[in-house]
Parts: sequence; structure tokens; C-alpha cells
Amino acid sequence: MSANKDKLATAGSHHHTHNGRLVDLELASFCVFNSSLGQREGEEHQKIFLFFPVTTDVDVQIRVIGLLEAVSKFMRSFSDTDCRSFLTSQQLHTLNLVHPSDTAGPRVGENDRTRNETIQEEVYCSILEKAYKMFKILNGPLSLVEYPDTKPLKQKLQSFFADYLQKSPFGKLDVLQCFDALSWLPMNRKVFLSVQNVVNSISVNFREVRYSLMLYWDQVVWNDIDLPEALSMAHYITKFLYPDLMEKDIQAIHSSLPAQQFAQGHLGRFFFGPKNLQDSEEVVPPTFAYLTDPESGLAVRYRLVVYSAASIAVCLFLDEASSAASESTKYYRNLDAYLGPAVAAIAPDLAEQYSKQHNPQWSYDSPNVRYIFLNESNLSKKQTLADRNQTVQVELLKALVDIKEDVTNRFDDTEIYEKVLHDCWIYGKRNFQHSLFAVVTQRNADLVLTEEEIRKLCSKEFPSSNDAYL
Amino acid sequence: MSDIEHVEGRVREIHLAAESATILDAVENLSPGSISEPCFDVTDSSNDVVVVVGGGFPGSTESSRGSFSRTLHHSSGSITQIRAANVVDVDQQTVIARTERVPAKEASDYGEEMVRKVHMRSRGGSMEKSEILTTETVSCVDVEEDIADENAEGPLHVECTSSYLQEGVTQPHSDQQDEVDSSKPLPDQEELDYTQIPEWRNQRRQLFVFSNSGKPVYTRHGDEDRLVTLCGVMQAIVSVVNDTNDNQLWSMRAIGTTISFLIRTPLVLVTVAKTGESDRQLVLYLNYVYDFIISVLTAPQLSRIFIRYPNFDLRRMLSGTEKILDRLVDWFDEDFGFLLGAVRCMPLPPPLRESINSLLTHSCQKTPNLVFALVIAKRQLISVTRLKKYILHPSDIRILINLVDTSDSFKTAEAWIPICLPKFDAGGFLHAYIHYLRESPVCLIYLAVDPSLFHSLAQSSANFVSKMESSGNLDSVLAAMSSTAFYTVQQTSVVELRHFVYKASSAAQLTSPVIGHPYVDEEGRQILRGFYRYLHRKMHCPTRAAKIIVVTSNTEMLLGWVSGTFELYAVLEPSITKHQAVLAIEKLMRWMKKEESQLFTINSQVFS
Repeated sequence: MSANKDKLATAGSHHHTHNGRLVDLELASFCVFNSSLGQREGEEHQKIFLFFPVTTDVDVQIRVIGLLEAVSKFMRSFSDTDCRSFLTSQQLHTLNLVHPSDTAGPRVGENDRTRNETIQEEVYCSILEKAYKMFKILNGPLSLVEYPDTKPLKQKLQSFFADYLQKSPFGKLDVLQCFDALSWLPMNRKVFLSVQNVVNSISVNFREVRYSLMLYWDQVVWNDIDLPEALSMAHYITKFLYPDLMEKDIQAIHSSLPAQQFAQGHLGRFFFGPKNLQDSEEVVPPTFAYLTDPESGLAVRYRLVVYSAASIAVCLFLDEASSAASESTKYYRNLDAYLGPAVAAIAPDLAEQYSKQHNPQWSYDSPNVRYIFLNESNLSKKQTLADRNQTVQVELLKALVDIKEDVTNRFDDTEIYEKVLHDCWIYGKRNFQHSLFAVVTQRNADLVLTEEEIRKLCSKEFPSSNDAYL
Repeated sequence: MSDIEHVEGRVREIHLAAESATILDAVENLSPGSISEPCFDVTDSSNDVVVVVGGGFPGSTESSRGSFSRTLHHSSGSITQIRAANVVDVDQQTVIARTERVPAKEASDYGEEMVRKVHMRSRGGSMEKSEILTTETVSCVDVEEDIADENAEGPLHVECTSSYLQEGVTQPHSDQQDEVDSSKPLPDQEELDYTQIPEWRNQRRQLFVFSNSGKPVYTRHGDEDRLVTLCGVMQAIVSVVNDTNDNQLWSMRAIGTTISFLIRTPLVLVTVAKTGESDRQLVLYLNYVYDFIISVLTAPQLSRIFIRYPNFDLRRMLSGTEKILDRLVDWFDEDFGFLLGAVRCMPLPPPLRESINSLLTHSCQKTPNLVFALVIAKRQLISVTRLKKYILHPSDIRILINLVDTSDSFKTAEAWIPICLPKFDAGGFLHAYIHYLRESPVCLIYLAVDPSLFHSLAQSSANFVSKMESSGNLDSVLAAMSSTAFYTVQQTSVVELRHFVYKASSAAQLTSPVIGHPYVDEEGRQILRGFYRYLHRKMHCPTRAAKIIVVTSNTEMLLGWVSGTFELYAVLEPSITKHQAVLAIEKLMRWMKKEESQLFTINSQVFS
């Protein structure tokens, strides 16, 4: 087992309640363990770093983990890569070994009564991977080197995943998560320049700001960190911080906040900042984020500041060495005084751009064709599969996930047309890191007609890159 | 004693009357009793015991099969294997003797000697065996001898498929020994765990069968004795998962590798595939392997063995069939028909096929207890006819074809063997009469329920053969086999088409042209098979099954189309438009309609 040293495995499993339907699955358990610990008989519980539900009997925990260990070791007898998942008639376990140097994320799974392929491990894999990536960016990589004493690590895991599992929709899985990418807010030049201006002036006025990420609602306005990390961060802000923000906003309106803030025309909030900006005595406990250094590949710790005002979130990564002052309330007051007006100034422009993209003029509006476009080079997406009013049928989305797996893993530079249930056609193509997936629901469409619809979609939506797709 | 006469009669059938009778006498002395009961009577709730004895090598009872076969080798094929099974009671015994490749004169001596040894061993031999044998009385001893004299071989009458098959596939013994040696890793790797050996790890398709207690039964690659630990691990995982309320282990996945489990108590079947196939597809293969084991033992017998002896080493019951199973597993890769659940049919001119059909059906008329008759050649179906109300499942046909084609011994003389067709009736044996026509690749098979039908079927067969010859049908079939039976894709005159597989769903038969450019070499074939497996997977996903799929890449266009009556899988040129592809497929379908009666044996032949 010495080979397993410094590896941590995470595993989850799902029970499901309704036959084969992704949305009705529930998380059975979630655990983090390290096989190199607790080698001696009777000490196996030392391997366990985290086990949900916490009320599980320790013997059951040990048994579950023992099984996971056995399976991953057994898979290694045949495969050079680690076991991703294993399926039983009642549960799907997904597991992943996390190396100290890191790369992969953890995985989750589902199950089904009949032995068929309604099970899409990929959906669950991506969700568990997401969970680990978020843990990593906020708590640093899981590594025993960093934590010679496992206690603080266990506490971190407990507090993070308790919160995460509560807030993330494990029981209500979104198939679209498989097509995870950043949504960039389309901006004209003038707006883009004013955004750039704000970002530049922040880093000039606050030297310790190393990187920044700016969002308008869920759409990226500015980013200079690594794209996958930006994706995790954006997910964290929109799915974990915003719900809190909503509450605070409502409270703020009804509470007796200093009236001058309203007068100044902004309602800014720090997420991990001081409770009261006016209280100079308060020491702000630091919040960290871990970004991968592009040169060394190691995780580097930064102070994290997240400020939100007028639907804009500004996420700043502060150099830890030169940010001693940032623990004081004064620092936050200064930051607030600067960011408030600056954000307020660009907010109307961004709001206008944001509403524009939902204007039919901007979007391909054929009721028969819905699509998602992914650009891996900037991790961006554009989609009409699901909007606020309507979502394409889950079964069709699942078929799209299958096609995505095919064009990504199985074939290179390939185009797939598939006639599936209800005589709908689905389409998938990947070419030079660009992929397009579409659902054509036109009645009585045949192959030739479907191809024509896709051609029309491409020429209208992606006129400049038309050649690359058809 | 009419039973004895009965057995003696059967033994005479195999032209070895004198020698076998002596052996029978010898065994008779050991424990007299009735021999009318089939050796593996399925209705019997008794036990089965297998004893393997290496003549003159007392230690070999405990030795592994590998060393046992080496022992066999060293003793110039004069070693006897004795199978004792199906303990009924002291008075009831069935003794079947089989002699082969041993100088006829020596055979009787050997028989006596071996029987004595068995007897002695049963009193105070190895611990495990003595335990079994002292508590149970051996009622059925199946004596198998490896005899050096090839001439002594003939159609044989035995009551266990495996005991018969052993000789069929393994001749000559020395060859098999060499093969076993060559497939084994180098001596310096002997100590290494298989999982440390890259060639073993990287096998595209591994297959393991072990019992509920974790005892290895079969493996496609490697020696079972060196896989005891691995099988133990698999068994442990299976049972841990099984601990919680009816939970069953199904599959494991890593990138590029899928491991599927099929638990068919008392056996566990596992396959490790690097073929890109889905769990659902892999389970189909595992079911074929399970069916094969059932075809040798029958399901009730299998479960009875393990109820009585949970630690039983089933390899002994299956010994001799490994090569056939190996061939079956290799065939999975070569033939898309396993996934499709269809049998490959040999294209023949319609009048010729009709003529054969009627000759075959005619030869079956008025033979009581005859259920099916088939004519096969080169692993393809030429004609099949059946008793009213009974149907022959494609999976059973596959098992049968694989058995007949793999065992060389059938090719030289007519044979009469028990075989269980799991889909037809997993509970009992049918008896198969196998006869190659005039030593050509064309083979006639009769399947009957009555074990005493050999003579009448031999007569029917003779009639069938003479009619086939006199009518010139046999020559026509042989001529067709060298010309029209293997058509090329060019004959369809669809220029955009490179290759296709078509399944006629109602007949459960498939046809495909010979593989041509650019897939002729082994690598190309692998790629092509990969395409078909992928398409099959997409078209048979239970909840999101595609009705039509078109995959276009730089190198080819793949097309899958499933309707109620047919399944079509095609590979086309990559540069054509979708419209051209549609036209090409329509053209192919017209050709298919026109050639249907040549490509398939559509009309079901029935006799009464």
C-alpha cells in the first residue's frame, strides 16, 4: 500500500428513487480517505477523513472504504489508469485518487435497477470533479505533505463539504453540467474599454492585487486567472455566495444602514470582509484562495476578497506577502470607497449589454433547433438548450451528453447525426477545440433536412467560423 | 443385466467392444449396479464426484491440471483419467468407458489397474478426495483413457460432453502440450504475478470464470492456478457488494478499460475488456460463456455439484473443453453476430438451398425423438429444420457450431455426443449426431432426445448423404463455397459502400461481404469491428436507442439503421454528401431485397 501514500481518494455513491431518472437520484454517501494511513488492524478508521452522512456507523464506513480500496487496487491489475466508477444493482460509486501534485477531481455516480445505459457516469463524474476543484481553490490541494497533522485537514473537509453538499444540487442533477463552461458577457468596444479601465486602475491603486475576476450575474466580464479556476470561482460566487447575498441585500434594505451609502448610489458588500466597515478595531480573519502557478504548477495562496454591488461581483486575489494591511477594516473601507463608484459607473452599460443578448436579434430563434456551442480555447459557451422558460427534454440532453463523449473521446474531428426518440435528430461535432451540439425537433425531418437546418444555424450564428463546422 | 448388454452394445458401436467391455467388467467388479441411468441424470438429486488419477504417479491427485497434463505427456499418453460422478446409491451405477490412442491390447490392463487405483484412493488417498469418497459411494465412473493408437478412434458414446470433447480438441496430446508451453510466460516470469506482466495486462479481452467460493474455473489467458489470488480478490469484492440487501456487482470502469461481472450462482463470470464496448455488450458475451458451461454440464448438475461441495474444482468437469471455450472467446472478437444475436448464413443459390432443405427435412421425418437437424459449413448455417413447436435459438446454434467446428475429431468419423442447449432446455442433455459429409467442410448435425437413436440417425444420415451426392447438391454446395458464398461489396454495385452487416431480424440471421480495402489487414479488421461495436452500442442503448445514426469523419462515414424487420450497419466513403449516402443505402436495400433468398434461409423448415 506504500504506493498509495499521499493519495487521497474521494468517493460518492447515489441511491435513486425513480427508475433511471437522473433528476431523482440522491446522494447515499460521500467520503474522503487515505489508504496509506491506518494500515494496522483496528486502526482502519484513521484512513477516513470525511464521511457523509456523519451518523454512519464507523464499521460501515470502514467497510465502504475497504471496498473502494479493493476495487481501485483491483482495477490497477488491468489498467494503467485509476478506477473511475463501479456500478452495482443499487448504487454507483465513483472514486478518484487525488495525487499531491493534483490533477483530477473526485467523482460521483448513480444507479439503476435494470442493467442498462441510462446511467451516465460522466454527468456524475463532472459534478464530483467540480466539488473537488472548488475545495481545492478555496482550501488548497489535498495533500498529506501540507498537513502532517491530519486534524486541521479533516476540519477543513468537514466544514467545506458540509456546506457544499447542502447547497449543491446532488439530488437534482443538471445534465447540462456536462457542458460546463464560462458564459462571457458580449460587450461592445466601449464597454470593454471601460471595464478594462476599472480593472487596471484597481491594480494601480491597490498594488497587492495580483489577479481579478469580474462577473455580471453569472457572466464573465473580466478574467485574468487560469480558465478552469475561473470556472470554479465563478461557480462558487454564483451558486454559493449569491444566494447569501440576496438575503443580505434584503436585510440591508430593511435595516438601518448608514443612509449615505444609498446617497452615494451604491450598495457594495464584502463577502468575507469586516462585519462593520466603520469599526476600526475589528480584525478581519483572512480568507484564502489557491491558484495554480503557471510556471511551477504548484498551488500558490492568495488573500481572497469578493466584493459585490449592482449585480457585479469583483473577485480580487491579493499577494499574500504584501497584503498584511488587508486585515484591517481600514483597508476594506478604502477598497469599498474605490470599488463602489467604479462599479456603479460601469453597471448600467453592463446591464444594457446583458439584456441585449436576450433580444431575439442577437440569438438564433428557430423553435425547432436548439444548440450549445463550446469553445475549449477560452472555455466559453453559448447555448439555447435551456433558458429561463424552457429546457430541452432531459432524455434528449442525455443523448447529447452521449454524443459529446463520443466526439470528445472516441473520434477526432467527427460529426454525428442521430435520430432518437420522438423522431428528433441530435447533432454533435467537434473540430479544433470547438464543439457544437444541437437538437432538431422539426416534424418529419430526414437526414438531409436536418443537415440543412444545422447549416442554417451555423451560417446565422457563427458566420465567420462557418467553414470550420460544415 | 440387460443394462450391461445395453452398454456393451453401445461400446460395440464405437468399434472397441473387446477392450471396453473388459474395462466395464473391471469397473463392474468394483461396484456392481445398473447402468441404464445416464451418467448425469438431471432428475437425480445426488452428488457428483470427480477424481483425477495419474497412473503411476501417486501424487497427481492433488496436482494441478497443468502438472497433470504434463504428467500425461511424460507417460506417453498412457495415463488414465477417471471421472467419478453422480453418486446415486450403492446399487445404481453407470459406467461409461472410453478408450482412445492406447494400444488396444494394453487398454484392458489399464482399465483394471486404474479402477483398482480409484478404489484404493477412495479408501485412503488424498485428504480431500478420501473425504468425498468415503462418505459417498461412487456410482458412476467415467473412465477416460488417452491411447496412443489413432486408429482406435471412432464415434464414441459417452455421457458427458466434456469427457468426449477432451479428446476431440486436444489431439495429439504432445501438440497441446507444446501449445500450452508456448502460451505460458517465460520461465523467469514464472514467479511473477500475472498482473506484473504487461502482455497479460494489456490483453484486449480477458475472461475469468470462478466459483462462488473463489476457485478458478476458467481463464482465457494464463494458467488458472496462478490466478487463485486474483480470483479470490474478485470473489471478495463480489461478496462484499452482495452483503447489502440484494446488491450485485455489475461493472467497473477506468479510462479505456471496462470490467463486467455476471453472477450466475454458483459461478461468477468476469470479463476485462479494452475494446470500448459497454457493460451491456460485455454481459452478452459473458452469457455466451455461461451457456457454454451449461452446454457441457446442464444447469441442475452445475448447481448440484456446488450445493454438495462448495469448494469443488470445476475444472475437472470441464477439462478437455478449454480449447473450445478459448475458441468461443476468440470468436467474440471476430464475429459481430454475437452482439447481434444472429447466426451467419451461407449464401447459396435459392434452388440449391431449397433442395437441401427438403432433403434434410425429409431425412428427419418419422424419426421419433428427433428435434433438430442442421447442415453447417465453415461456421455458417446452410440449412436448419426443426420439430414442430420447437425453436432453435441463435445462441444455441452458435454454441453448437463452435463445438463442432473446434473439435477436430468429428471431422474424421461420425460422432454421438450428449450436449445441453441452454436456451432450448438448460435442464437436460440432447444427443447430437455429428457427421461431416464425405470429409468435406459440410457437416450434418442431428439433435435428438433419445440416447439410443444413434443407429437410426446413422441410417438417416447415410440416406441424406447419398441423396446429397446423387443429386449433385454436395458438389454444388462445395462449388458455391468457393465462389458465391463469399461475395464482395462490389457485387452490390453500390460504389459509395465499403462494407456492411445486415441482420434479418425475423430469421435472426446476418450477412456481410468479405472484408475488403482498406480493412483487409488485421489492424484494419480491428478498426472495422470497433466501428460496428460502437454503432451497435448506440443503436441498442435501452433508453436512448438511436434509430438512425450517421457518423462522419475524415476517413469514413458510418451508418447504423434499425427498424422492426432489419438492422443495417454500413461503412461508406467519407467524402460523399448525406444525400448521396441516403441514395446509396436505398440502393443497397433494394439489392438486399432481391438477394434475400440467396443470402438467408428465411423459410422455416419443419418436420413432424
